[in-house]
Amino acid sequence: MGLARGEVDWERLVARCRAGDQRAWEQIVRATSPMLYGIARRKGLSEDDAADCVQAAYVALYRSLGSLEAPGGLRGWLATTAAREAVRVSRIRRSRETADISTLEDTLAADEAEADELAAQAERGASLAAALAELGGRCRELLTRLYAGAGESYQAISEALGMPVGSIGPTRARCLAKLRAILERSGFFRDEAYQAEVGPPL
Amino acid sequence: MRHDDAGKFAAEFEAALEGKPSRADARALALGFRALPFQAPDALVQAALAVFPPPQRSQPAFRIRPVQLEGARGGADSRHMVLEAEGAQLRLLYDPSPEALYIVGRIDREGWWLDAAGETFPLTPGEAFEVALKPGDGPAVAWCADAEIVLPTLAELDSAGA
Repeated sequence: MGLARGEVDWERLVARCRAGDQRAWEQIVRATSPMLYGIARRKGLSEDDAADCVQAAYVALYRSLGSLEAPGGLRGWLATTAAREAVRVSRIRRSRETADISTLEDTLAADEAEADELAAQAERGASLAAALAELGGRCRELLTRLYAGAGESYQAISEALGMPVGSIGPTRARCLAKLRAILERSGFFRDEAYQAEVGPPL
Repeated sequence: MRHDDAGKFAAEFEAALEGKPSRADARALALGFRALPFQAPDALVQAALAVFPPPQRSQPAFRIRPVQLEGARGGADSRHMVLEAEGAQLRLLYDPSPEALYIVGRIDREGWWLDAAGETFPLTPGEAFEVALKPGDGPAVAWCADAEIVLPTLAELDSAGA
């Protein structure tokens, strides 16, 4: 079965990396580094710590290229690896500032759960970013400003996009409808992790 | 707008779509917006790229030799050279009148690419190919899976007397 537009053939990229193809590695890095960096920054790491965290994930990937059991799930593998590293570094930073009295077992269990959640969120964000890219144009700009930005007012968005304030609402509805169609096609709402998190439809 | 209230987002999405999405879908969308990727700094990307080592390059057994001019491009002042290696062949034709270097490649096996003037051109086995280089461009580079060859510049071709 072929890939939908915007989908990445991770399995093929891993196979090419195994054959020494540097371009395949570059494709992987360019496709995933924003997601991994986002994981580290959202965990509250500094820019330097975040960069180290992302680097650690890629080093781990390079070392594991030959043994990855499910190359098709590479994006999730990288997200989980970076999230675990981010949580670990964050805990180290915190423990320097506060007296940590939790037991090691509790800490490790909590870290793992948090890392899994971080990774799942990041994958969700990456899927949405791909859908927004496909949406393109003013719709992408409008929805990003509305929902992913720093909370711009309608007036500010109106001025930035040259769009009357009164048409932002109707345009938003049309853009959301288009976005939803793209997401449905890509399986965004069928994701099992989602369903586990958000629960069954009401 | 705050990002720490997925429920509020979800309600807004539901309202915007006039109740068409389920609440779960709306919440999923809200969570997605809250987790969009960040722009990764270029230094981070470069460091990540460097994790993967470049292929080992060995000096290929290439030789350059002048040959008889062929075809319409041949002329009294043309220089024509052949670059040969491991069954693959790249043919260079220097025509001084338009001051351009033409590189014609005939690729005999998979994995050959030609890079000239900052652009990359995929070549398929057996395909003929040519590209014009303007004087002043950097040297053209051809490579295969494990070898890199810097092709002669215009000046080098000239001094070679081909």
